[in-house]
Amino acid sequence: MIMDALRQWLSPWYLEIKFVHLAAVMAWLWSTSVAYVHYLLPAFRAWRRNPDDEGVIALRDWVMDRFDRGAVIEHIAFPIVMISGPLLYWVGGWDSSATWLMIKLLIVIGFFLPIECCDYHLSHLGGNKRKALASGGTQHRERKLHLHWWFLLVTTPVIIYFTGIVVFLAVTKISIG
Amino acid sequence: MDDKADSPDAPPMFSGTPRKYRRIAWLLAISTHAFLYGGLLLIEYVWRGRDWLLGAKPIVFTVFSMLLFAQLCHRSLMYVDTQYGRGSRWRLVAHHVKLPEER
Repeated sequence: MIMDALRQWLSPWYLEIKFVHLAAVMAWLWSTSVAYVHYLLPAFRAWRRNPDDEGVIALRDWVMDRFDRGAVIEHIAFPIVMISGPLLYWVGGWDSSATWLMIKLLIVIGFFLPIECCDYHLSHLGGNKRKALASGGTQHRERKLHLHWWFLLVTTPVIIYFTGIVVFLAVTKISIG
Repeated sequence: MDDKADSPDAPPMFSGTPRKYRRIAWLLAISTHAFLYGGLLLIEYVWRGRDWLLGAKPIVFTVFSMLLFAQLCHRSLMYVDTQYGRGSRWRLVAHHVKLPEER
């Protein structure tokens, strides 16, 4: 009863909720892209080629620390996406008959949500390199940094490929099946 | 043997290798597509009773997407970790710079 009333009250705001959702998706998707491609990658690639160069290591550590901080925008946007998305589903009266939406939800819940949970940990919680240095010294920080580099290596193709599919499905709402 | 690498004070070596990257690419491709196909099968066939997903077209499309993803994933892993991938345009010139730090 209360939920129906709430849904009725929110339904005229569908497009406004959609605007918030899209803006948050854009912030989540693109906010770290320049930093990743043009700052983080060159620093890490230089380190992989010259693993013992102290200058390269200092630069890599500095860029990683900045990148951890820069991920804040992405990590504020993601919860907004995760709240506004289900709100759109509920207010818009969508159900499981929309196959494009089911594929999109499987990707978001199955891939993006676990990836972002790991990313929160690596950037701001136990995996934060600044915190790791303070709590366990340089070796501990180095291990955390390797873990984060593994995370970035593995998730880059997943994010690129499946984000393309999700955006395509969301825009075209293509009829499947 | 590299004495520096064996020393307890030496920084740990990064464990990425081309063999691992190839295995990861296949693992990711198979697991992601199995999850999507299986999840959609549960929703469409088990829950909604629609059997279109069992036809040849969706299966061929899933396999094609899986192979494409495996190829892209392997390329990405090798490219991003330039130790083994491309990256010949980059040059390492020694510079001494002071990086800003917050107080």
